[in-house]
Amino acid sequence: MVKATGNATGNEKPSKDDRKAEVRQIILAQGNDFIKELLRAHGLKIGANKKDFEINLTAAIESDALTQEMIDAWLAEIEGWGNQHLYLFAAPTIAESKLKAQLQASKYAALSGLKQSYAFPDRLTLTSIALDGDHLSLVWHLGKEGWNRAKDKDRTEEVELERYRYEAYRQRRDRSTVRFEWRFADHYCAILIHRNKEIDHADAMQEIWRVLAALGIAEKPLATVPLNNAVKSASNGKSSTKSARFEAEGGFVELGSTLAQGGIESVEAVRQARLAVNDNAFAKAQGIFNFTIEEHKDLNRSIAVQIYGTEGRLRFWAQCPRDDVYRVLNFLQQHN
Amino acid sequence: MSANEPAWQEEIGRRRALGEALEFDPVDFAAAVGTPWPDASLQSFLDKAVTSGTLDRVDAWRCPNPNCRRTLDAGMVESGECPHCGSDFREQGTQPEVIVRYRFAGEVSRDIHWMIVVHGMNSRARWQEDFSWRIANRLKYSAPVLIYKYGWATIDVLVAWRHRQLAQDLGARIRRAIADASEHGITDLPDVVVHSFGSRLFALLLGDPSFADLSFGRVICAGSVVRPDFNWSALIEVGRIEAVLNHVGGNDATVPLAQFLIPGSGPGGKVGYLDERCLNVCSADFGHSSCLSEATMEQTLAENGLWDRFLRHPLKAFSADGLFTAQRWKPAWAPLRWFTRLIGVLIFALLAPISAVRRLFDP
Repeated sequence: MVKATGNATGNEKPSKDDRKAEVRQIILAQGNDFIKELLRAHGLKIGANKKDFEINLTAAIESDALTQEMIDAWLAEIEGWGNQHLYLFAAPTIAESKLKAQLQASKYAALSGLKQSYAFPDRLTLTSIALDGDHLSLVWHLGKEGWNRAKDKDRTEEVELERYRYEAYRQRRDRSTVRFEWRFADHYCAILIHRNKEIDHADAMQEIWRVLAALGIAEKPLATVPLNNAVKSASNGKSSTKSARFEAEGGFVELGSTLAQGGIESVEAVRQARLAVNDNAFAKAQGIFNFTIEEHKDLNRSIAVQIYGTEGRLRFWAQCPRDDVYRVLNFLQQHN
Repeated sequence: MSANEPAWQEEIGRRRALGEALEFDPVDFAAAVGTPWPDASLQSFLDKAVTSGTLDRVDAWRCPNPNCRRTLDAGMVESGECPHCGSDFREQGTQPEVIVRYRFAGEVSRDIHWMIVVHGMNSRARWQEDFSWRIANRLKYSAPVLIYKYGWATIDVLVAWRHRQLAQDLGARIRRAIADASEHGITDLPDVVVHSFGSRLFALLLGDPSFADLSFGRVICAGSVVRPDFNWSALIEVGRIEAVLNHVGGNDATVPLAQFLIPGSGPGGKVGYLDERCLNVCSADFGHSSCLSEATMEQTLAENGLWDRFLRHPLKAFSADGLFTAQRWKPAWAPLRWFTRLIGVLIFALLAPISAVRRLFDP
């Protein structure tokens, strides 16, 4: 979670001036398109240009129509953890002790220790590097467009003898973050990619591998950590399973639950069908699992996690703290 | 109150006893109880149940894609995307449909993952094969049954040291079986059926510290010769076993004699277990091995039969004809037991060589 800038410390709530300063910083760093989304999301007056935005935002802060919680939530959406794709790879083999020197010697040295960036360039750009005694974190930022259906702008038109129908979409600007995270104590590292569907994961990974090679962390792409066994084990009563799919060459078996709470383990007929599946006969497995706070007491909130076993990819279906992501990963590693 | 309310209440009770469909869509519930939906009185019944705390109202969402319609959670709705069909609600200009479901507190039914069956004395125990066959046919998934045979035990039951020896053999075999099952992906606890002298061996095994690593699921005792005052609760408390069903034979003439000849034994299969966490069920006309006849097992292992219910259904709602609480029991007058057991030891000493030779040819 990104902390608000300004004078606030600890649990002290940032003042309105702090909030205004933060908003100004966002506006300076980002284009109009991104700011529109924050205003629109809360039904606030948008305005015609950046100056209007700032005035409207300031007024909204003064009147408490835009609260610190709203700004935090907006920033968390970008910078926070969860609600993203996570790829697991084998940890690099480089000694942690060499990292600092290699980082200083690289062309990315200036990015080391940089704080929050509000920039969202059109190309995936490395914006900060954090290295401490137990982990390395590299963060890239990217601005992307998306299109929201705007049915109220649909229209039909008659041209000569033909009638045409036009379906309208409104442009949306999404802010995306991509990360490389490596906790030295783990035997895996992770690449996290924002949920934006416009991001080409292969392209993003290529950029990450390029930077990691330049930093001397990994000369070539690291090996994927498959999660097929974790899916098989978790779907066999070890975790609440929304759906599970097992693939063999030429076919697959898919099981699912339509319950709002609970998964296939709560539906006897489906649970017993799961018991009839010979795990060894299915090379690939994927599924959606509910990590609920009732079952996993150390989580901050319940999270649905979609796991693609062969790709070693997870899709987190909720915003959550970094610790929750690692708790889920630890659980899966135990069952993998 | 609606005239249909008892039927609705009964349906909830039925689901609770079976441990099935604890969460339901009101449309499906209405169909199950034969009430056309929407129905104001059924809705009122559900609302009242929510107010009284019997039911929880669960607000959820459904994917608006008519080809998907899967249930979504809050995180998925926040993300604006369906993980099942990939629909992007913003891009399609759609909204997830809000749905209401209901859920009542209760335990979900359980599965039989694998079983261990241990026979009694002086028996070839053909029932074990029959049991295994029925379980294999009853379940539509693989649930291996370990048929444990310790040979044709006769005079072995007369001396305590042979009990310990046989119990240790049983423990070693079970430990191997657990490791083997685990290697094949079955990490769940085995359920157990023990008959007569097999129950004595199983009780000894549970009390042996060298086998404290072995834990079991639900245990069925038939024609048990375990003492009625055996402390099952302590074992349930620490998770060594999950629950015990003691199937008592009202006409069992063998079990009452056990304490006079078999050291450490008692008439648990006649008197019942005093432990309040055990379920004692008496079949009044059953003899010592009636539970194991083909006809009886066909009934008890059939869907919703006595043993099937015990093995699969939630125990809180367990009920059965003949369910009783054992009141009290005292062992027979000690000098009398010592005397009869001494005779037993003498018989053992006399026949041991013959028995040993016999076991060479017929173990």
